[in-house]
Amino acid sequence: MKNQGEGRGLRIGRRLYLYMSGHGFTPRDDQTGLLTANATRMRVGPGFHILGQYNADWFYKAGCFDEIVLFMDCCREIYQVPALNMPYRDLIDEDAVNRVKRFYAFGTKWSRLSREKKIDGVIHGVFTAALLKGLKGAACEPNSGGQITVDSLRNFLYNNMKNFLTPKELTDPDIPKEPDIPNFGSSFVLATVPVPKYPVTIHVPPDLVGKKAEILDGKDFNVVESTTAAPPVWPVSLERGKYLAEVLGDGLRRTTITVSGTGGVDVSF
Amino acid sequence: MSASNPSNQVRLEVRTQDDAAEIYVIDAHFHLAARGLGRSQTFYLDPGVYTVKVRAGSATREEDVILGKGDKELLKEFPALKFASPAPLEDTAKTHEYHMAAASTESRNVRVQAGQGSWIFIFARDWTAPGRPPVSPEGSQHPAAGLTLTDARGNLVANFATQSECDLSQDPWAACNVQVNPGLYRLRLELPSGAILEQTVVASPGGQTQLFLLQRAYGPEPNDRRADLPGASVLLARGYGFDPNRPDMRLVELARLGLTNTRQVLPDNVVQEMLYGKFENPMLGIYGAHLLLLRQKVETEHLRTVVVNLRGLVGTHPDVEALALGLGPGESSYVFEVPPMLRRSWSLVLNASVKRPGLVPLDSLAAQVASRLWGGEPWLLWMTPAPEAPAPAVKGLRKTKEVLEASDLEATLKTQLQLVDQPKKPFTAYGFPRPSVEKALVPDPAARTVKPQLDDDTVNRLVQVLGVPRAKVEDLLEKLAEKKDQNETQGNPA
Repeated sequence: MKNQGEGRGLRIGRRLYLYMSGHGFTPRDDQTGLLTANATRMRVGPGFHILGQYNADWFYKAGCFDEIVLFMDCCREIYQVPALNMPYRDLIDEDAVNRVKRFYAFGTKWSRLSREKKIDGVIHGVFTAALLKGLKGAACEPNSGGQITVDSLRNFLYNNMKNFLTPKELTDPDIPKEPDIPNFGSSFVLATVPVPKYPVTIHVPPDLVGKKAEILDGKDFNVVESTTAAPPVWPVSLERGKYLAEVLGDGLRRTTITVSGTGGVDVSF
Repeated sequence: MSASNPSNQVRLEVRTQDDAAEIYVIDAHFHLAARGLGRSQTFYLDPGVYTVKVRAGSATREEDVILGKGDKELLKEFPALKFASPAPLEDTAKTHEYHMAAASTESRNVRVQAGQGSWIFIFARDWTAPGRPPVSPEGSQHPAAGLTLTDARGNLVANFATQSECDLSQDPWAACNVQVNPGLYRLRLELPSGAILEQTVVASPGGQTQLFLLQRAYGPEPNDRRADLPGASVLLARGYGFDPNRPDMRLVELARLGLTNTRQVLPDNVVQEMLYGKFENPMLGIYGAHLLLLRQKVETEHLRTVVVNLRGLVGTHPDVEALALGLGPGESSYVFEVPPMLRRSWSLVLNASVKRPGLVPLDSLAAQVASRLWGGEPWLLWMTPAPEAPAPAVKGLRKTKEVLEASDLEATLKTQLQLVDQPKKPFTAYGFPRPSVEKALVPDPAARTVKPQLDDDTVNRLVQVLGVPRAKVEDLLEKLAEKKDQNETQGNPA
């Protein structure tokens, strides 16, 4: 009301972040709810849950922000609830559809369970762990000067959630390996970060030690690192991307290197 | 990505084991370079390091390829991916050999005789990942607990909790083959809360409708697990008998998963087979036709051909008739007393009801359940809430489910009618007249116009927003008008 009185309409700010984590459920396919701490089996109705997309959409439709970002690291099992917690009457800014950009990301597909585990000594949702890595720089667009865009974050999350799982967890069909991120068709820059480099340790086989070795960018095969005499363990730092390591011995020996941004990489030929 | 073959590009051929496999080629900067569908795809790509990712259902596998400068071509082959399916199919993730054997055997034994000419086979089971403890610590629960089959009017045909063959000694399973007259039936699941979840099952002449169900949690407690109706796999066999090794069943399952995830997974060669009647699995045709409709440009003649083929295979089937309505409201004379099996079919019916209000009669089951749909793609499920405990005899406190439903719909309808009455741009983010805000925040009785003369566009919007057929919208409008008249007579605001 104050903003409106000052001629700024309903606009409050540039970007709204909503992050929800905890035990959640899906009452219907377009909504995911976070259960409140005092919810019980018999108390899941209005007052005992918060609907992430409903709230995000409310601000979207009202045009209160230029960008709405919603992250939900919650289970999306289908629960029956007596009624949904949708308390607000819509305020419709008809320009919002064209003006406001959205990015919603869910830790798991509709009707599936989310997953949490100890990562780097702390219990995290797998989605949250990947998200934090991404936002700290791992999700920046290659060759963009460190821009983390909606698209690059989406790509990062789709491709890297699985990197936080053990081989056994990867074979369990009940454990989600990918998030659910609807594509609303408009990208925007979430953050600009110093382009991070990640430690890559290349283990050179004995017969190739002392030979000439190179690391080539996987996109254009330009040389990014080289040594005239490869040591048994060759440490380098590389930006996120795919590379090709080559050593010229009796013949050309090569292997691919994937720097996903989720941590250091060990490579053997 | 390129369809041509400039001299500096490398030919990459990717082979998979599934017609409905999705193939993605991702470049060294993690951008999508190319994509395709099916058992074999050829791409022409600039030299570089790529990741080839293959997806079948929920299963994926990735491998790196190096396309070197000067290379001409590279072949990359992938094995069959073990995706998760409620149907115990060979080479899928959530299955055991004893589940496959039981489903195969029991699908050929009639356990309940309730008619002739068609069969409905239910196979409910649970599955635990190796090394994980059973989900229900008290021991295995009957996987068909609360599950029954009724006819279209709700009369009991089979109780699967008591009439199934079952084995609870390992990951439990329960199976029951019911011989029925061809027609429409309802699969009914009583949830731990007492609520009822239902879906339509169509028994086609001379065929067996096979429903495969894993278990899912319907609440936070371990004993809240029941058969997973939203995730059901439905297959249709000519004659009867389930064969876990049939490759077309695997394709049908992948098509269902594609529809569930809104992914167009059928390649052109499969679509061509559907068009030329070379498929014998009606469910593939039904899923496939809906997947055709996902394409940005739909060839109506293709859809017409599939509908004709399907009618030849299954006769009158609500989902096939719904697909016919996708060609135009006059393309089917079928009346939907009972909802179709698929949600997408129901959307086609709702759209067509704008032009044909009699398509879904007001007193039909389909109209009654339209406001009680539950869950998402692909199945159309409806829920009947648990009976409420007797309420205190205080006027205004007791609300039956019907009253709640009606009030929810009425409230939404009133909001929509207000939108119809409002000017096109009530306010914008950067400036709007104060009265508009007040109008938005404070209900304006003057804006409540009841039962306006609505054009088809507005009716269409109401049908979409409320998710009910036109007959129901008109009924609600009439009831609103009656209430308004009563309130005006009594001097109360509407």
